[in-house]
Order: sequence, then structure tokens, then C-alpha cells
Amino acid sequence: MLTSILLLPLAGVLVNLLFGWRRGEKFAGWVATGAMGLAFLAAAWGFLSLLGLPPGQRALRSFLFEWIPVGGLQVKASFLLDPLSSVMALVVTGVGFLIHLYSVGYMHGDRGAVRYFIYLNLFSFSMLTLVLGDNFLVLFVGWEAVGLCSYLLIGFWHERDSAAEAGKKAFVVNRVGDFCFLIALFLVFSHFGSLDFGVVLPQAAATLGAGSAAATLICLLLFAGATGKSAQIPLYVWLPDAMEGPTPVSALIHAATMVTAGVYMVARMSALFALSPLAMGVVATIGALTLLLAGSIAVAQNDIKRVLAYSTVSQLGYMFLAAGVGAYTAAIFHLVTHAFFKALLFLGSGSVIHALHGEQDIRRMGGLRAGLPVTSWTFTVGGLAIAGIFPFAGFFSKDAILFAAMTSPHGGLLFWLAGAAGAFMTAFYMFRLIFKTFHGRCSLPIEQQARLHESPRVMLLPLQALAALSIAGGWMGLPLIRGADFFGDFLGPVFGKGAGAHHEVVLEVAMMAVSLAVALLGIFMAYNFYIRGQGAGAAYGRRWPRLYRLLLNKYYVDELYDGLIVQPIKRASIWAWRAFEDGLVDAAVNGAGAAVEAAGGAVRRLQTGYVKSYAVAMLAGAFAILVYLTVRGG
Amino acid sequence: MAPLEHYLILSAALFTLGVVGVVVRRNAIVVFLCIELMLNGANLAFVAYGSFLDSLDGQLIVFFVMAVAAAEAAIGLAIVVLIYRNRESTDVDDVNLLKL
Amino acid sequence: MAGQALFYFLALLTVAGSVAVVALPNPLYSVLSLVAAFLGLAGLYLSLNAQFVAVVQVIVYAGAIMMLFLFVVMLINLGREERLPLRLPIQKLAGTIIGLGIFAGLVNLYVSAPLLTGAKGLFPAARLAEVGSVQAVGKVLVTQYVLPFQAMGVLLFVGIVGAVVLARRRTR
Repeated sequence: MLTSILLLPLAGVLVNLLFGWRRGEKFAGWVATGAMGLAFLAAAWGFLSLLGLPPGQRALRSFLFEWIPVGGLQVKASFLLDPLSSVMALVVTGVGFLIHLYSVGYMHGDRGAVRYFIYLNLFSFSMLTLVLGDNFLVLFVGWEAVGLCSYLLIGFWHERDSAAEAGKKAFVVNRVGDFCFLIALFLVFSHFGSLDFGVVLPQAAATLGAGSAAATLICLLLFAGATGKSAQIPLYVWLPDAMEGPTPVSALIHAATMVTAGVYMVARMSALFALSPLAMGVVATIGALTLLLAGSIAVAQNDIKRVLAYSTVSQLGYMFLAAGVGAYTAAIFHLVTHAFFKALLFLGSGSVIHALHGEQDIRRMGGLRAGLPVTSWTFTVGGLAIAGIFPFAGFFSKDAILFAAMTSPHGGLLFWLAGAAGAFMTAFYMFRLIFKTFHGRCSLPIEQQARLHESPRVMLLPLQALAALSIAGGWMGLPLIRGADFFGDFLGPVFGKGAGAHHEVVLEVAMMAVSLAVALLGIFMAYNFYIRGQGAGAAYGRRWPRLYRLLLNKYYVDELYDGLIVQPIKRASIWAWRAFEDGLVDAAVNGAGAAVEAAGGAVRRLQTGYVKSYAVAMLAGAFAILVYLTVRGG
Repeated sequence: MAPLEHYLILSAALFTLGVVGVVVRRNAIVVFLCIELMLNGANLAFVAYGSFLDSLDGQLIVFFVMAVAAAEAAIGLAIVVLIYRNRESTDVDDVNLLKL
Repeated sequence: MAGQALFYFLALLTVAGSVAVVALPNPLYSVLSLVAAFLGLAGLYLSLNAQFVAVVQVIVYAGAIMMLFLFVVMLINLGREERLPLRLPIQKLAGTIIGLGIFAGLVNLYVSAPLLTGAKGLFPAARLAEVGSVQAVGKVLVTQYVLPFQAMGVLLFVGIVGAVVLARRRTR
């Protein structure tokens, strides 16, 4: 059953590889979607079987085969379903299924649709390998494989230069993180002599010791890997460019699942991180900084998908903030609700782009509410959820993070302030987007307005389902009421905590009120700028042109990286190319070739081309052998 | 029955006649015949040894050599026919396509 | 003594045929001389108590393979080899000398070294006379040598296919 979760998407890949090309996009789409649907059912079954076990022992292991049995290195291809991976598997297959369904409509008529569905299923398989892997190496395989699928899907429309460039950028930036991750694996192996979670994590405290340098180093390297995959400072730059891919891909890979792999990994390694307060502090600080930086950039962007991309980076910052203060349950909770509403927002933006035939600039949109009613209301639900308005999903998860940021022993007022400021920005940029897109005057040409049409059923259905999840999804982690925090009770044992942590009711209610007020303030300001006072936002932009340009150009981070890292490496590479490649390697290779050519020219006269010459040579050889044998035998 | 040495010297003589023929003659078919001659020289040595050692293995190897000779003749003659078709000649000294 | 005389007669026939193969200018005569040499060889095989090989030599070698040569010679209607100026003289001279060297080396070996040092086999002449030479060979062929026997069938099949593919006229 555990392996069937994994194998169903893989089966989808194989079926489509064998038959999809001939049968066409419709077949491929439904095979891929069906595979994901079945995988979701398998994951749900796994979840239910976990629930049937007593809370302390909720773990199902599945051992497939000895993968690398080499001396001291014993790696098994084995998988683990515990509450954490079960939640991840449900999100991957559930949200994945809806996005596959949506893709059937979105990719209709695209020449590469079959390839697209193969990649998408392959991604799901890789992501499930990542979350279900029972040792570091299987996790790493999934980690690399989702990176590959991400690259393939970002550059899906590879005829476009920008898409190919974005794919390359994502791949290279991720490589930096993956390199650190790999070194962390080496360190783990050298300290523990094993890569199994079941061996390493329980022994972590005894082997490394709390606060030890080794623990800190391993955790920091692991986190560096996470910053690559999960788009945190300093490696977040690839994610906004990744929006070059098809929109459902942005929803699945670059919002709901793959980018959360880093959060999952940090949560999985919580036993290691618990040993290093310094590493925890770094995680929380990077998370807080990322959420502020990305949130402020999102305020000034004009591309609908880029706003959402920076919003994703910012929300991931929330998750790392939570993980960094030790609130792993809150981090995973936010991961799940974020998967719901961010997938919804991306799919909604895809629906808008679909309706406008590729237009992504929100300055040319407006008043789309009339033409796209379903997209409009589902998008608004997503906006309310991400802004953290009661009773939508984001409210509960964001509240859990803010509460932990304040009260956790690793937290503090500064972290809470960062979170609250982020909440304000989230509400502001989200409703700026909603107001500029769906409300106000339509700035499209008349003939385009007339052609405006709502997306097909197959695309609206996932939107509606995700909207329902965005509304209800938060209620599985109710705070305050004892026993109602189902989510926390389910995940708690994984992170070594008893169920039902004690909450101070008054403080928590007060903090809820504050964060709600902050979010409402953000929405109100957006309303003031973009609905009531038309162009007030632009006026502020004119008032502080420098700040506006700074935000619009994303703090010039891309330019900074280009100047500080990319160009020097490029120059060094060109120098090395001239000096080593041309001067040393090519010279050696060409020299060898020239030497052979000269030698060949010298002895080519031996070859006459006449059979007879060869026969005589053969005879001479036979004669020589005869003489040799005679002499030796005598 | 003659002693073994006589059979062996006869086989060596057949082999050498074949060798000389292969080297000296220009006609591809005759070159082929000479190769058959060399094979038969070896065959004779096999059978003679087998007979003098009370073994059947010599005869069996000859049997296999004949099969190989048959296959070789079929393919070789087909090649000769092809060469003749293309060049109106079966002179092996004219054919130096192995050198470019 | 009669056996000795028979051997020398057959040896003479074989060598004469072989010399004729190499020496006669007309390929047609070369083929026919080789048939004569093969008949001599078949007689020698009989004298060596190898009846099976002797019969196969006549039927398959002289009968079938040589007929194939004959057909080809007739088909492409070759006349006698023209007396052209000698080409590749060095190769021809060297080849002849080396060939004679090999002959000398072999004869030297046969005369100087002890020949029958190997272990005796299972089939002395008396036993062969009892069970019959052809029967004994057949038995060994399809038991001990059955794998090479099958492989030989494959080889011949490939040879047939190859010959057909090569000699077929390309119609395009």
C-alpha cells in the first residue's frame, strides 16, 4: 500500500511514455490524472491505517530492496509512512490530483501536452519519494529528482529563451543548495555510520551532543540545502523566474509541493536541529528576513504570477520562522493550508491568463469579476485565506506561527513583529492584486472584453475544491479548545512532544485579535489605494520614487548576484577556458592526434591494399610461430 | 599401411602447394581452389593422427572443416561473382580497394 | 607391402592433381585437377580406416563443392589466365619462399621429433571393424559433438543466406 502511493504516478509515467504519444493529449491527461487520483486514495488509506494505530507507534515502514550494500555503507530502498510523511503525501497527491485535473483543461491544445503530463507525473513520483523516503539517500534522490522535474517544467516552453534561461537559473541555484545538502549527508554518515532515519535521528543527541559544533555544522548545511529548494535568502532568486513555466506547474511545484520540501526536510530533521540553538536561530532569522524581503517586493510587482511567486517566498519564510522557533507543527500546518490557498491562487491566475490569452500584467486588467465570476470568487477566497482572515485556513496556521514566534523559548518579540509586518504586507499585496485584477474599470480593449470567457468546467472544479479547502482547511488545527487541535495531536509525536500543548488563552486571543486587525488594515489600505482613491497607490510610488524603484527592481538582488558572483565566475571560466582548455587540454589532445597522424603517414606504405600482401604477411607470421615452437619445443 | 610420417609429409606438401598457389595465382577462383587444397592438407594430418591414435576425433574435425569449407565456398564464390559483375575481371591483383 | 604400394600410388595421384591445380592456366582444368586430387585423398582416408570421411570427401567435397566451383567458372566463362607481365613480384617471391620454408619446417619436425606421444583413444581398428566406422562416427557426432554439430547447421544456413543476399541482382 505504501509503495502503491509511489508506484501509481510512476505507472502513469510509463503508460504515457509507451502509449501517450500515439493516443494523444486527452488520453495522457486522463491517465496522469487517474494515476494521481488513485495515489490519493492510497495515501488516504495509509492515513486511515495510521489513525488506527496508537499515537505513539504511528509508523509504517516498507522495505523494497537492498540498494547499496557496500562495506560499511548499507543503504536500503525503504519508505516510511508516519504522521509527517502521511500529511505530506496527502497534500502532494490531493493537491496534485486537483492540479492534474486542472491541467487537462489548461494544457488543451498545447503541442507538448503529452510530454507535460509525463513530466508532471514524474514530478509527483519524485516528490513522493522525497517525502516517503526512510533514509537520507532516498530523500536525496527524491530531492534531486524534483529539482530535475522542476527544471524540465520551468523550461517546458523551451522555444522561449526566457523560459530556457529561467530553467537553467533554477537548476544552477538549486545546485548550490544541493551541494551543501550533500556535504551534510557525508557528515551525517561519518558521524553516525548510517543514513537511516530510524538510526540517525534517535541517536542524534547521544552521538553529537547538544550544542556541539558538529550538530551546528550539519544543521546549517542541511538548512543551506533547504534555502535552495525552498527559495530562502540567499538562494530565493530562482523562484520568481520559475514562473516562466505553465501556470499549473507554478501551482504544483513552485507553490504547493516542491518548494515546501525544505520545510519538510527541516521538520524531519527536527531531532538534529534541536541540538543546535544557533542553527535554529539562523533558520528563524533567515525565515523572518525572507518573509519581509519577499513580501515588500511583492507589493510593487505588476506581473500577476510574480506577485504570487514573491508571496510564495514570503510564506515559505513564515514556515521557516516557525520551524526555527521549534514550532514544527505550526510550520507543517501552514505548509498544508498554504498548499491549498496558494495552489488556488495560482490556478486562479492561470484561469485569468487563460481567459486573456496570455496577458499577465495586472495594469492591463481590471473589472474581470463580471466575465470570470467563478474565478473571481475563488480567487478572493484564496486571498482572504492567505491574508489570514477569520475563519479561513490561513488565519489558523498563521496565528499558530505568530503565537509560537512570540512564546516559544527560541522566539521573541522581534520575530513576532516580523511576522505581523509580513501579515500586513500579505494582506496588502494580495488585495492590491485582487482589486486591480477583478475590480475597478476594465482596461482591456473592447473586442477583447467581448471575447472574455470563463474557463471550462474541468478547470473550475479544482478551483472550487481548493476554495472549499481554503475555507475549511484551518479547522483541523483549532487552537484554544483542548482536544480540537487534531492536526497538532496527530503530528506532535513525530516531533517528540506530547499531545495538546498548553496555551495561554488570554495572550493567544489578544494576539489573534492583533494579527486579524493588522490583516484587515492591509486590506483596508489596499481598498483605499486601488478602489476608492483611484491611482492613490501610484501617487505614493511617485512620492517615494527611490523606494518604489527599489521594490520594483526587487532590491537589485539579481543584479547584485550577477555582478558579484555570475560575472566573476564567467570571467574566471573564460580565462580557464583559454588557459587550460585551449592551452593544455586541447594542445595535448591535438598533439596526440598529430603524433598519430605523423606515425601513420610514416608506416602507411606498408598497406598496399592488395590481398596478396596481407596473405604473405600472414604466412610470415605463421612461419615465425612454427620456428618459435620448434626451437622452444626442441 | 604406410608410417605416419609419410602421411604427414604428404599433408605438408599439399598445404605448401596450396600456399604457393594462393601467392602466385591471380585468378580469384584458382586462389580459392588453392585454399581448399590447404584445408585438405590439414584434413589429411587430422585423419592420419586420429587413425594412428585410435581416435575418432580427427575424423569429426575433418567433418566440421568440410562444413566450414562449404560455407566459405558459397560466400566466397558469391563475392567472386559480384566482383566479376562490377569489374569484368576476377583478378585479385587488380583489386586493391582495401587501400583508400 | 600392398598397403605401402597403394599409399604411394594414391599420394602420387594427389600430389600430381595438386600441382596441376596450381600450374594449369585454365581455371576449368584447375577445378578438374582438384577433383582428381580429392579422389586420391579419399583413397588415402580409406587406407586410414576413415571410411566415413572418405565417402563424404567424394560426395560432398568432390561432388558438391567442386561442382559449385565448376558452375561459377562456367557462369563467368573465364578463359585461360593471360600472360601478363608479373605483378607484385616481391610478394610472390617472398610468399613462395616462405611457403617452402614452412614445408621445410614441418618436414623437419616430422622427421626429428617423436610423433605419437598422445594418449590412445577408444577406437582401435579392431573395435571399428566390429561396430562399423560410419556408425561409430555417427554416434560420437550426435552425442559428444552435438553442440558443434548444431552450430555447424547454423553456419551453413548463414552461408546460404549470405550467398543469396550477395549474388542476387539488385533490382531498383
